[in-house]
Amino acid sequence: MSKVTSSVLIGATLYEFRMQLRRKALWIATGIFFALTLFVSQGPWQFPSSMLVIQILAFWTQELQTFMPVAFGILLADRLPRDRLLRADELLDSLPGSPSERFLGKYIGATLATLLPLFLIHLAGVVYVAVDQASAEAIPLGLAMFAAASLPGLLFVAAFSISCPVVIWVPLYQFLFTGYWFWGNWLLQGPQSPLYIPVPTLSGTLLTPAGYYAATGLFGVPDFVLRATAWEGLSSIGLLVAFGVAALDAAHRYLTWRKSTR
Amino acid sequence: MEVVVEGLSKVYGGRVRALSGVDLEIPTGMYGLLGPNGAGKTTLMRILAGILRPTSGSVHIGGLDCSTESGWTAVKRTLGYLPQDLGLYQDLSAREFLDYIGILKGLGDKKERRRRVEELLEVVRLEDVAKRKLKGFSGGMRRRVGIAQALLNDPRLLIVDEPTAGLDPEECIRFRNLLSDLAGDRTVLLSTHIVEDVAQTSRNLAVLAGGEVLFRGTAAGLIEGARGKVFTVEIDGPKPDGNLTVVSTLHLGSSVQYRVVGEPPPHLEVEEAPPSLEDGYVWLMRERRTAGVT
Repeated sequence: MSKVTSSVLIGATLYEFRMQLRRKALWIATGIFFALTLFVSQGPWQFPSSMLVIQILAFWTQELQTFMPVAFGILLADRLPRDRLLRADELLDSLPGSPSERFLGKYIGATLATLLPLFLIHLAGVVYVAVDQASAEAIPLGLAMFAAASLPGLLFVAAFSISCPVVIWVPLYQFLFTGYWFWGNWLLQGPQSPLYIPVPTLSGTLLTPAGYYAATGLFGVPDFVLRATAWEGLSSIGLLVAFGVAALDAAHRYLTWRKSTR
Repeated sequence: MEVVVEGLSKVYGGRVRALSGVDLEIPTGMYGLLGPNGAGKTTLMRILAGILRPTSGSVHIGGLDCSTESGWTAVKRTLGYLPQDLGLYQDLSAREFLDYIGILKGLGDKKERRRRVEELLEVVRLEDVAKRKLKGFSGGMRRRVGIAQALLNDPRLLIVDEPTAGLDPEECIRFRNLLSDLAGDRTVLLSTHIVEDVAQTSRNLAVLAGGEVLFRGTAAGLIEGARGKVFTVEIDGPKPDGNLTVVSTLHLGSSVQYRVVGEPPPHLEVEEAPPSLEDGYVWLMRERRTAGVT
């Protein structure tokens, strides 16, 4: 990677991060979905004291994965079409900086910025657990849990939310994504649900962004949502990252092709 | 840096022909591209800026063949482009926006880039509002940010599309002077439908209409084409009729003075006037329309 190219990647990452972080919608949407999370589930202060630290951390991680990825996906969906809507794309296309680096910088920068409030919420819960349970190891464990169980799913969601609006109108994507998330992961999650309709869903598979496989397989959380081996945990992480990369690659190839035919 | 365009055509969607066999040789210095709205100027600018690909024909800039990816990349490093409709990132300040564009233009050295940004903020007189977010900028201020970004990499080829749109008269004059100063040892391609912009800056020019080049040559040549066709007429009645195009109207109290281009009827008392570039342009367009009718 040349010096010019790497500076384009770093510059695009920094400025996309900065622009996303300055959006009021980022903080408002994250706040709303966090409030919704607390309304339907529990904060770390509400778990029974008989639970193990690892269990509390796993449930806390899982609860944040209930609704927060919806906000995450919605907030990232407009990042790519925004250049066109602001009419900045014409100038950007005339610049020598590699479009691939710019595209990657946009993904990394916007994703990191959108991740930040979610990470801070997660961290606040972990710190609470560490203090409440007088367990110093809760901090590294909580961070590791975030990295292994939350992050791959969020990167997967981010990749699709950046990529899909290349071919889908942003509000339609946001509607479909939100609908799918509630439909496939929460409202109609099993035959026991009165609203159950057998629909294709990633829920329960290794590709579920909720991170159950990594939490159970890699951290050995007892009595959790499901049982999984370490191999299944690693496979889940690998698949989520690989499918995310594939989505980004497809979107980038499509954009390159579209530009070449203008 | 010489720009050579040969047989350039652009067809959108297989049906809409925006450019048709355009041949141009643009030497170093200021070069004006005039034409009415929809003439194909912006399409030509976008092709020269590497945003659009031509349907056919070739572009060579500074000897580099722009039909290859490597050729375009090399040209883009020496290019400054101000689009007609420049979009800015609203959440960034002017300084941040210029810094970001500087990075994308390959100005990797942070210290040098920041020095250049400050220098250009001063040139476009935005240094006092450099920290303010762009969403609070007026149209003229946004235009000046656009001008500054085009100059960041000290381009050898500067392409400016309708650059004075949205600027007040003083800003227009400052900007035209700036372009003329820059044109000393580089190529500045100024596309506009405002004849005055070209008249004040460009010795060489081309006129584009309907995707075709109607005229290429010097401003003096275009003016000369209208010699003997420009008149003033002072009457107290309605506008003079006949085969005339009124280019200006001046109310003088009891009468009205018209400046007209064309061939006045014998009964009309007229006085021949020295033609301006605008008259030359109007005459050319009249000729084209007449040719189209016949």
